[in-house]
Amino acid sequence: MLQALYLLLEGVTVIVPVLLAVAFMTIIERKVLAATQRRVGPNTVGYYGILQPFSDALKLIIKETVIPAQANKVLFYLAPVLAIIVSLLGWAVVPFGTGLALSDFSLGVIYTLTLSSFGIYGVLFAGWSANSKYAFLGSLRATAALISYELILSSAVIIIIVLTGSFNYTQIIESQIPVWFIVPLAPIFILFFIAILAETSRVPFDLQEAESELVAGFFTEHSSIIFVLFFLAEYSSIVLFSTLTSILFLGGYNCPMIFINDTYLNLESVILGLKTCIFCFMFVWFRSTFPRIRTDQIIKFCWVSLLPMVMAFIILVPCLLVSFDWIV
Amino acid sequence: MRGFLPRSAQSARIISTSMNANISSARAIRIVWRTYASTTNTTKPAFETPHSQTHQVPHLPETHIKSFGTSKVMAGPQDVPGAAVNPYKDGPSALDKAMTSFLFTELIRGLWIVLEQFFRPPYTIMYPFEKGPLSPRFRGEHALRRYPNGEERCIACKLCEAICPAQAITIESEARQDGSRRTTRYDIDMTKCIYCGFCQEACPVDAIVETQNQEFSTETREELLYNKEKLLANGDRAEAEIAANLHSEHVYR
Amino acid sequence: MNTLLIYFLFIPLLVLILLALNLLLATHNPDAEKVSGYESGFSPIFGQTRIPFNVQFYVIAILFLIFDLEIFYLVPFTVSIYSISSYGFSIFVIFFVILTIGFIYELGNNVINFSTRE
Repeated sequence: MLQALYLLLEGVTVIVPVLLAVAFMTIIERKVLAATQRRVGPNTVGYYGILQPFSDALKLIIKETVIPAQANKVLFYLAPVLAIIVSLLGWAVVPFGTGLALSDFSLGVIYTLTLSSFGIYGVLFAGWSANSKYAFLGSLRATAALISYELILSSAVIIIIVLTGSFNYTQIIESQIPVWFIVPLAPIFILFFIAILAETSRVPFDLQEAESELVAGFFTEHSSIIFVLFFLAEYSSIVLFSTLTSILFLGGYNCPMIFINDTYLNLESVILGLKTCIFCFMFVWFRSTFPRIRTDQIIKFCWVSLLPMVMAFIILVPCLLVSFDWIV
Repeated sequence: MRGFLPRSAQSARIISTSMNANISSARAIRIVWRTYASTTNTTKPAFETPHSQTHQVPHLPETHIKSFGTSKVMAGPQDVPGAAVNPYKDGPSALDKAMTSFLFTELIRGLWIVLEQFFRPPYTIMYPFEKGPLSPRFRGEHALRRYPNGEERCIACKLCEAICPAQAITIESEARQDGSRRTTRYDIDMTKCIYCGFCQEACPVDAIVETQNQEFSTETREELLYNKEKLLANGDRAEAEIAANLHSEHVYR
Repeated sequence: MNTLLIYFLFIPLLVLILLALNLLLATHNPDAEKVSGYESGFSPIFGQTRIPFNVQFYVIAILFLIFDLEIFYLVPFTVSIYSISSYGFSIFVIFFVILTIGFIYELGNNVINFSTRE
């Protein structure tokens, strides 16, 4: 089936750069963390440490996978597989040019929100299947924080859809040609960024993984390849959410039309990549600046402070549209 | 964020003592500025004006907001002795607190400081290729020295064996053929040695010394149990350096 | 037979290839010490791994359910806001205000406190 092979080639064209981006995101995080701490990160493996993620992945693949006694084997393997599948599936709707997504899905935003909700199952199954009460409690706390910030994420995205009128990512980018959405919706950008930090379990919301303190939280018992899958899933979510932030707020691949591009090269994806880099850097920047918040403070912060504010914005933005006669 | 606390407390003490001791306010401001500047080791960001330094909030332990104006609208019993004091009287106003809470003032200041650090050069030494400085007093691998004519210095007085806190030195001695007192066995167990340098302080003839070499790790434990040949060989290899170090340090010993 | 279907089949295949690589390339020697759970040196007590947990987690899950459904009731409103215009907007506000009154009641009752010991 030659057509299936062509479609597979399209999938590979998206997935291979994404996996490379995820791999380099790990080394970028280590180098940027090191630079903000006035030291150098890994610099031995390749030029300036570029090949470090590949040596890490190779080492972890050839390590032994230890399954704890009386663990639920099916769930033990299913959890990270689910996490990474859901993370990587989210790239199907990201447009790298005008209409150039793997599938220019007319409900793209809902697809993304569904996938991020589905990824929480991975966390829940991981903690439950490891047959250790600390991993279980860690996963319960992580799940509670993740579902709380799911609300903020969905609401912030809904407010953008109010301004756009369509769930299609290409349509959202096209409607940002006059002005990028970060200009009118700056507070919602802040709320969205906080929600993204919590959804990917990054500092200041990462007590569940707290790499230096709790061993590893809910994935303590998960060793070689399982750990690689969780790790890749987390960094893939980081890159994916950075891309989504730049699509939703920074205008995606929009840029002032300086010259007419007659070549076959797609410069729009480069613009999207640069904007994604800004947000990836901000993720790491926040990690090196802020201390952690305790889990009950995280959940209380969401329900008591953020959720009323986001509800206020849900009422405010259509009210503004009505009051300025945009919606008669 | 809590790190602002000691500085403001210090500055607050200086301001209150200045008011009691009639130091001029300009001098008080200079003292406050120097206290603040000496306790920070980051350069101040460009948008924080010196104007903020003159508005200190005296001893309110729960506020980190120094650079805004204080609320002066709370009247009430101020000078009546024994009256209740309003704890919020001189603190930041509700508007200041709201602006800080909504606009993340201290968070952005923290982010800016970290970003400044990002663009500064790292302090890392690339170890195998660059090494840090060592002083001539550095205590590393042991060596047995010789006199310039080739005669070994050690006279088997066993002072080093006696003083070694870890009992790492083992000495057996007998008279040599030409009648001089020398060791037949001088072992230092480098795995017991704590590298304190007592042996080199105790030696009356400067026979046993510690060189500056700390890179002598081996792959088997047996290689680290040094015997006399190894120590003498160390000494022959590093004699010039040992002599130079001893010469520079001998006035202190 | 479109791209998304092939993609949905390709990604699990990729992950299974990674798992298979580990199965082939790594040793598999489980022994009693390796498979015991990690508790900083203590041995796990039999029967304590599936413990009852705090009810606060359940409360948060229920609240999440309610508010997530509310947000997804908003989803059709946001795309059709231009055609529904002011009348639809006022219906939306009434719906939202009713749910917000419930939210205020819930916050006022302080239902999310992890520090109680009951």
